[in-house]
Formats: sequence, structure tokens, C-alpha cells
Amino acid sequence: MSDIGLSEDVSTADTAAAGLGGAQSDDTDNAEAYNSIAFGRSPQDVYNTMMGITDKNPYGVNVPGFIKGLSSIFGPLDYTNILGSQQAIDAMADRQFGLAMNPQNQPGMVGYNSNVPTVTTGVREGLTRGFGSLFGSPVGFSTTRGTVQAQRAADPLGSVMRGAFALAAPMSLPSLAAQTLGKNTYTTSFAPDYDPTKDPNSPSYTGPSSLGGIVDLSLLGSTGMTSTTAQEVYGVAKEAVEEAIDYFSNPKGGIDTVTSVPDNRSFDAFGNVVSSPASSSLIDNDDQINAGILGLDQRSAKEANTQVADSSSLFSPQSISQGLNYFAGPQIQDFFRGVTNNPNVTTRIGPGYDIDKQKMDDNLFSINIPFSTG
Amino acid sequence: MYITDFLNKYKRDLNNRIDDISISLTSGSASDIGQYKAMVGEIQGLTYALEHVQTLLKKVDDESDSTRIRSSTEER
Repeated sequence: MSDIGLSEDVSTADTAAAGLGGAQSDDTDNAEAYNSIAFGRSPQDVYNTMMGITDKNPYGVNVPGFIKGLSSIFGPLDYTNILGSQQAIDAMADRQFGLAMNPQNQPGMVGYNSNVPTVTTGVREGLTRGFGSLFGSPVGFSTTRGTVQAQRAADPLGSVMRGAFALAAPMSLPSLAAQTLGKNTYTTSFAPDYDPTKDPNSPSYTGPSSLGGIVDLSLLGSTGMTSTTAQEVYGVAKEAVEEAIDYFSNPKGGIDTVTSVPDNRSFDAFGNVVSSPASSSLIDNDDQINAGILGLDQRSAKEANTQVADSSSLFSPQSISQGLNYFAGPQIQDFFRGVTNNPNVTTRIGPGYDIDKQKMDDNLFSINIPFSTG
Repeated sequence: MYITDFLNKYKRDLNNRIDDISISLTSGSASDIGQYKAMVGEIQGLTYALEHVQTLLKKVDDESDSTRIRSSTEER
């Protein structure tokens, strides 16, 4: 299938075999399995056999997750119609083999690609990208240096906020979730730079990964968190909220047909609508209010009012603020209560209404830390 | 930017996306049949687009070849 030249000796490939085939139980089994199929064959043949790669299936079946079970139900998988041609299938199989054999793109080794930089830590381009929420990540991909593993950057604060905002809007804020607040890097499980305490999938993982991490951090608050830490969280949160508002204010992707509706409403101190264009109605000859939404009967008017409010405020700063506060607010508040060791601290994400100025204030993230003078 | 540069860049992007999904597929990211079908479906769509781009590139190449031949004939 492949015409890739071989520049590794067998001992290298032997080490490699231990990292291949996710279904193997341990290294001894792997070595035995490798020895039983490797004799007199090229490394790519061995790799293909271990992964279950065939002329019609460049992905193999011995991979973690759903595919293994799929092939056991439906038999051999055939990707000819998917990839279009035998040539494309062979090329895909070669690429998979190249990435598995040479995850750092070392020159002179199988799978070296001169268009891609060589790396000394982590993994080469192609194994480092996040693939979006729908398509997962390269974690679990088998290579000669073990399986690809995630390494969550040592930014627990970013992770905290990423977890919070990802939950607040899991499919709506791609840049928030993946870029602004930091993201995973990848390496392989046998690499010297692999740190299990930074691997979210490792039992040794010590960092926060989700909203649960916020609770953990809040417990740390009374023992080790510093004011600098709090400031950093504040900065991260502020940036995140700014981007969230920008995102919602300038809808992208599938939300490009939102009609802009001028918002002339007034609000009371609690954010409730106290007057609106719908109230500027006319009175007919029978002293009945017939114009605008309020011209409808009471039940219909309420429903129509709600719809108008929904359509005009869907992407308003207030609704964003309310959404973020609803989803992520309690956890963030808990976190800051831990940081400050003050159970009465309150936080607010997103713009609020300034009663004194009678307008929306500019602060996107505020913390209220009450203290007693007595 | 020449049209061929654009098409080549587009082709590279399509290939990168196919590679990304392929790696994700082999790393076990497909946790159910729905996700698996979505991934394979996108690969199929990208492959279709890739074939079209390749056809266009070939067409552009052929046209530029024939233009060169025509102009050199005219010069003689």
C-alpha cells in the first residue's frame, strides 16, 4: 500500500508497538502480539495489521471508542465511496501511519513532512489542533511514543473560566471556549514532557477542568489563593464577558438573519420594563385602547409583549448578562467567596443597570465585597 | 493572488480538515453512531469538494497550456 521508505530499525518499531493498538491490555501483551505478526514484514504492514487497516479502510478498527464495536456488528468497513478512490484511501493510510510513526516529524524518519515543522516537545502539527466541539480531539491517537494525551496548560484560572462559560453557552462561544481562555496542548504518553497531573483524563490530574474545578478552587481560597490570583481571574472573566457580548452583538455563523429592533424601553432598578413603545397607544371612540400590543385583550397582549421583548432583547447586553449570571454566576460567586474568605461577596457578570446614572453601566464584571467597620 | 494559488490554498485547507477529522475518528472521538455518521459524512463532503477543486485546477492548467500553445503558434 505504501512506498514510504523505512529509516527506522526494528528495535525502534518494537518500542513503538507497545504504544499501538489501544485494545491491548499491557506492554507484555503488546510485545508478544507484535512479535507474532512482525517477523519479515514491513513496519507499515505490521501497523496496518495491528490497527485493522485494510485496502478499503484506512482508519482501522482497533481504535478506541465506537468504531471497534461498529465493525463487529456490520463487518469490515468500506470507505471507498467516502474517500472517493483507492488512491485516496492509500494516501490516507500512509498519512495515518506517518503520524503514528513520527509524531514529532523528525527528519529522516518515516512520515516526515518537510512542509510541517519538526518539534522537540509535544506533537507535530496535525496532532495539535482542536477539532471543534463536535469532532473531539486527537487524544487517544496511537503513536510510537504512546497515545496522544491532552495537557491542560497551567492556567487554572483560565480553565475555571473556560469551564464556566463553556457551560453557559456550550455551542455558541467557540472562541471563548477554545481561544480566549486558553486551550489544551497535546503530547504523547511516553514523552518526557508528558505530565499526568496536567492530563484531564489521568487519575493523577490535579487541575480544574470544569465547573467542579471552581468549587475545588474555592476550597483553596482560604489556604493559598492570593489577591493577585483574584485579579487574574477578574481579568480573564472581564475579557471573556467582553468577547461574549461582542459575539452576541455581532452574530456569526448560523445566526446571521437576526433582525435588529430598536430598544426604547425604560427599566426599573430591577431591570423590569416600565414603559415601551407598545404603551404609546391610542384610545378609540369607545375609550378602548386599540393601538399597539396593548390594544389586544389582556391575555394576548401579555403574550405579544413577551414576544416583542424576546425578539428585541435576544442579543441585548441585558439578556446576555442575565444568561451568564444564571448559568455561571453562582459558581463564580462561590469562587470569589472562597478567594476572599467572605461568604457575603456577590458578583455580577455582564453589564448592569446603574440606578444613579439611570443607564446601563460600563462595568462588565463587578464584585461587591462587603466589610464591616465595627 | 492567482486563481491557481487560491485553489491550491483551498485544496490544502480541505485536506487539513479531512486529516483532522480522520485523526479524531481514529482517536476514538466518535462515541455513537450519530457522531460517527457526522464525521464520515463531512469527510465525504470534503472529498467531493476536493475533487471539484482538483478538476478546476486541472482545467486552469489545461487552459493556460492551450493559451501558451496558441500564442506561440501565432508568433510563428
